[in-house]
Amino acid sequence: MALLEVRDLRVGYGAIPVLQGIDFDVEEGKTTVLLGLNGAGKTTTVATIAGLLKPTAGSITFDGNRIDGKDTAMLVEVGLTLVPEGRRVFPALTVEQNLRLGTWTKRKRKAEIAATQERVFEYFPILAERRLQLAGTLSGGQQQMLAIGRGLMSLPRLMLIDEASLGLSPALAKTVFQIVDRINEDGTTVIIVEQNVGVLRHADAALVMEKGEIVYQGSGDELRRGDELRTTYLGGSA
Amino acid sequence: MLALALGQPIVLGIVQGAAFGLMAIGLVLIYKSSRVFNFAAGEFATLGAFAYYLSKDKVPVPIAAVIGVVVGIVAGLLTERLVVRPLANRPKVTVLVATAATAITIIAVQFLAGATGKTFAVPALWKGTLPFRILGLYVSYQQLIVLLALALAGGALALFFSQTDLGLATLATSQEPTASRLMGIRVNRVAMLTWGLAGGLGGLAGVLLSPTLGNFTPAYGTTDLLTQSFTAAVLGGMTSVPGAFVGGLALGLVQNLAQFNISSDTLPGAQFVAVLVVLVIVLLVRPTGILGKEA
Repeated sequence: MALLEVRDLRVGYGAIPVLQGIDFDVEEGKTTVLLGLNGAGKTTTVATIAGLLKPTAGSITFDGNRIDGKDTAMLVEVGLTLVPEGRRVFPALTVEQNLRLGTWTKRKRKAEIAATQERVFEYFPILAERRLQLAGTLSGGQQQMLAIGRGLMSLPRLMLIDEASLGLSPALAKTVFQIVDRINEDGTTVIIVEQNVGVLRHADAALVMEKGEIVYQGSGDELRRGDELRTTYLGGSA
Repeated sequence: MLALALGQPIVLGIVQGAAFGLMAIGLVLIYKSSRVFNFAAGEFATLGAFAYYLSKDKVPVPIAAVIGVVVGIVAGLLTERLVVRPLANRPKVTVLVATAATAITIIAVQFLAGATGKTFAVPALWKGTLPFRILGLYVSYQQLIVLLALALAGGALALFFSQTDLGLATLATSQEPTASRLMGIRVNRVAMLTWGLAGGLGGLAGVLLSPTLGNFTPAYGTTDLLTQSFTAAVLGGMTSVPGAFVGGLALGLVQNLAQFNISSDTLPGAQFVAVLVVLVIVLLVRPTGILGKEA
């Protein structure tokens, strides 16, 4: 059984439909990449899964339980975390305080939190060095690392990462993707939203969206190796 | 002579400033958590004073004071639930105007209830004066209570923000509401907490300052406290609890020193001019206020 099942999901902003009935599954332990151009509906998809938006129709099932329309706090509690586009770190709080806030729904599980913080510092040693620095004074790449680290602190089973490479240099984006690989290897299922096809190297499965619909579902390798596929679905960015 | 020129305005200024500080802390809490200027804050104080006045003959005075604070808390909670939350997705200026409308509504209710033109006398929480003089002046226990309340409220809130998870969540919510939701923080509950706290501080200011002055009039929280408290909050930096504390005391001192030492023949309304001058100087020299940072 898939960890996440999305069926005929429809979402709109007022009268304007954005998602026009999408279906896909995410297998536990895998990394799935959600690709598409601007305005394709990628962010709307993950925001709806994370409970920030309410669907107008369809269903989302996480670990066998319907979660569509549920409160974000409840979803974090059951192990579903979104690292939002634009990082959205708490700028006037320190790195350590940002990480502490990531533990909000699990803050009584002290031992697991301590171990996870050690793991975050192992993934991102720069965060350990700057643990007392205000998040707003970090570079863009460091803020992205903090946003991912903060997401990890909620002890997720499924982590959604929206536009992890946005605004980062190619070298830094590669580093971030490598860390995402390690997070996945350590047992967290990952969905990465991207416009950068370079992420396909790190994907077990790929989904391509266009105008609110899924137009391709397959393996990351298949899409990466198939020039024609990439050109068809991702145009010039391929 | 020196006691009259300096001692009396200093003692009165500190006590009055403490009440401004209490309300200013409430304003800062709301601003920190939702970036809204709360124009209903003055009427939280008036409601607290009214509750104290109406219950003082039915229950012991300290209980009446607690009732005043509780009424302030309830007023804050109701304002959040009925006025602020329904406008959560509207521009901040809409919420600001709605808080002003809330104040006007509460004032209208006071007038409709027959309070127009009346003055309400309220007893001190603790009668008598300290057995020694300070700067040549006797200081009443009531004045001392106001000071202690400000110190306790300021200290407790500083600890709340720096040491507790809930305090940290409140700061986080003010900086990034969406990210806070994604951490699993229930933003509406944090908003209720801050509005309840702000209402309680307003109620406390009303309960403490009205007996210090001896009486109060309808809408006195808006007419006598709100402008000064806003100024204190801005002086302190608008986002800083210790800043609001310091701003309130500074304002009380400046206002009373000017009032006692500059005659109205020389400069009518000298106390207000002095406050304005200090505000302009602080904002010119330090635009973020005295302690303008998240604290």
